[in-house]
Amino acid sequence: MSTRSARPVRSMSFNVLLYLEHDGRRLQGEMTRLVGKGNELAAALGGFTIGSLVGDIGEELLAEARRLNCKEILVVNDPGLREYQPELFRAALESIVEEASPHIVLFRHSYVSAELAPALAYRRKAPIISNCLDVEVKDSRIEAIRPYLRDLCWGRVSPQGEPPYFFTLQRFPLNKDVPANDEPPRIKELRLKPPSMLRIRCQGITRRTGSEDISKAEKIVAVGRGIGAKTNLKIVEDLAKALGATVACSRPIADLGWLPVERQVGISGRTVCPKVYIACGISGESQHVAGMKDSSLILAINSDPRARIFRVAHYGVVADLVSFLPVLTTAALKAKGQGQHTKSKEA
Amino acid sequence: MHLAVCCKGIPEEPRNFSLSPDGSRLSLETDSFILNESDEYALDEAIKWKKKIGARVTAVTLGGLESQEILYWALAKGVDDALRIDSSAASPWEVATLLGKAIERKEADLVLVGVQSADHMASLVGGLVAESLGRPFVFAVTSIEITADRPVVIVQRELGEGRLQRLEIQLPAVLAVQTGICPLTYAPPARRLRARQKALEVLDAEQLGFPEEVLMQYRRERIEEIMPPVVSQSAAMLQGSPQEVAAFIVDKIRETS
Repeated sequence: MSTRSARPVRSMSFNVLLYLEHDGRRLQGEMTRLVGKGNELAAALGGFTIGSLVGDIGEELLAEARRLNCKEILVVNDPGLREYQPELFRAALESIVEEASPHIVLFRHSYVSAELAPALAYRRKAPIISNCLDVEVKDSRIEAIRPYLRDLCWGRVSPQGEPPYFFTLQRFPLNKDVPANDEPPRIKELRLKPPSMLRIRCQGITRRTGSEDISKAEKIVAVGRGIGAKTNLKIVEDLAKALGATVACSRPIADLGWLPVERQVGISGRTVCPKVYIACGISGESQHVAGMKDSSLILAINSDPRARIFRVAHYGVVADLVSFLPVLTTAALKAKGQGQHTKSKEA
Repeated sequence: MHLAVCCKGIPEEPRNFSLSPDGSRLSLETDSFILNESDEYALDEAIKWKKKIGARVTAVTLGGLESQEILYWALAKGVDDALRIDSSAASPWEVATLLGKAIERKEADLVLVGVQSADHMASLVGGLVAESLGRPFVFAVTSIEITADRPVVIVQRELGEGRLQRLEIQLPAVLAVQTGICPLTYAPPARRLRARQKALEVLDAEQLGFPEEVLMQYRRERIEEIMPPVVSQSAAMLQGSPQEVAAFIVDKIRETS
């Protein structure tokens, strides 16, 4: 049995290429942390980081990219790239990978990278490891940590074969401090070489808009599949009303059509950052957690003591929603009554 | 119009995980395999177009005999043909190589896959299959419009953060379907029983041109170790009577807001 070594190969650089994702106006996701991760890996390999920016790049976006701690930024700037088009963006990135000749290419794990990263890896016959929780260099070997089986276990995975090694990351844990570069990144522009035939035509981007914007709410009561039946939504709404909170949900509830998609929290829905987030019957899949993890106070109520939501929550309650939520509603109403009572006395 | 749907069987209640000695896959125990959730949406979407415009639908799975259950489920739901690729390949590169080859033979106009499998969680197979066939690929599709006599599909897809993009895609193409694209259908027991009478096509890797030693060259990753998830932070679990716990929570909310 032959397994090829994942040790660095000398023919290429030890540089780390980063895909800087943006929505046309601003960088998206946690690009500063992606760059931090890139610098950590580049330092361990003895190379440097190269950012890549593809689009119809305005001054503001370029200025934002310039503030990142990269040694160099390769830019494909073309009016034809105003709207994200998978084939054109892939072609642009292909030129960038060619130019940078990196050892590692890092993407954030996103809808866009799910298209671009496997296409690039396939064309290079290169290893690709996706949805990573971390990427590390250990004894000159590169390894990724990634989840399996709905996060029931994690695996340490190494790329096999020739670099470049492609990774998409859902998190960017920074294990070592890497000093900032003395100078802002060098900017190098590359020309777009579009493929001879385009098979995808863009017809515009729209934003989902709802009657109520959950991203502005200060308190959110979010409901997941653990609620069981649609008729049980009433007890969640009652709790939200008692707390003066907005009702939101996880993906399965929106998929079932029990609540409109505008209420969905997560990568595919909205990112929220309220003062209080109460997760009711939400298992805590990474795609949901990414949309609410920065809330100031996270309370999770779930009947399964092993639910992953308890890994991000500050406080957890193992309870049946149908019996516990009405108790919580009563307590909230009681407190509200007392609060009003106190206020009226003060007046 | 011929649609192929990649349907993955995933362990329903996996336990006793371990690593295969060659680091190629997870070994585990489970009582049953079920159809991966986003693949089920892809399957129901394809069957919707069979009913609407008379499209032919082929379900394709990859795995051992146990994964055949998935194909019976697909047949009960209404697909015309079902193909199992008999292989224990697990890595996205190997799986995509075999699926691509099988789909090429089927000459499907449109290939649907789900956005992610619940066991490998990689979201790679669709993109790799598309490249192996030299076809356009779009990820996270939330609606598909097919017109019987036109060689294009119009899709809506997610870009994240509530942004949606509309695209016109030339066929043949590969689409990764998001959950919620259509209502899921249910196949009653009688239809499931009848489905078991139907013939399935089975091809092994060698028949697809990839004997074991050739296929192994497409394995571009090695699992070195399987471990329990590392939990960096965990919630303070509240104990006590429901009333006590509720009172504590209400206090915390008041402190914070």
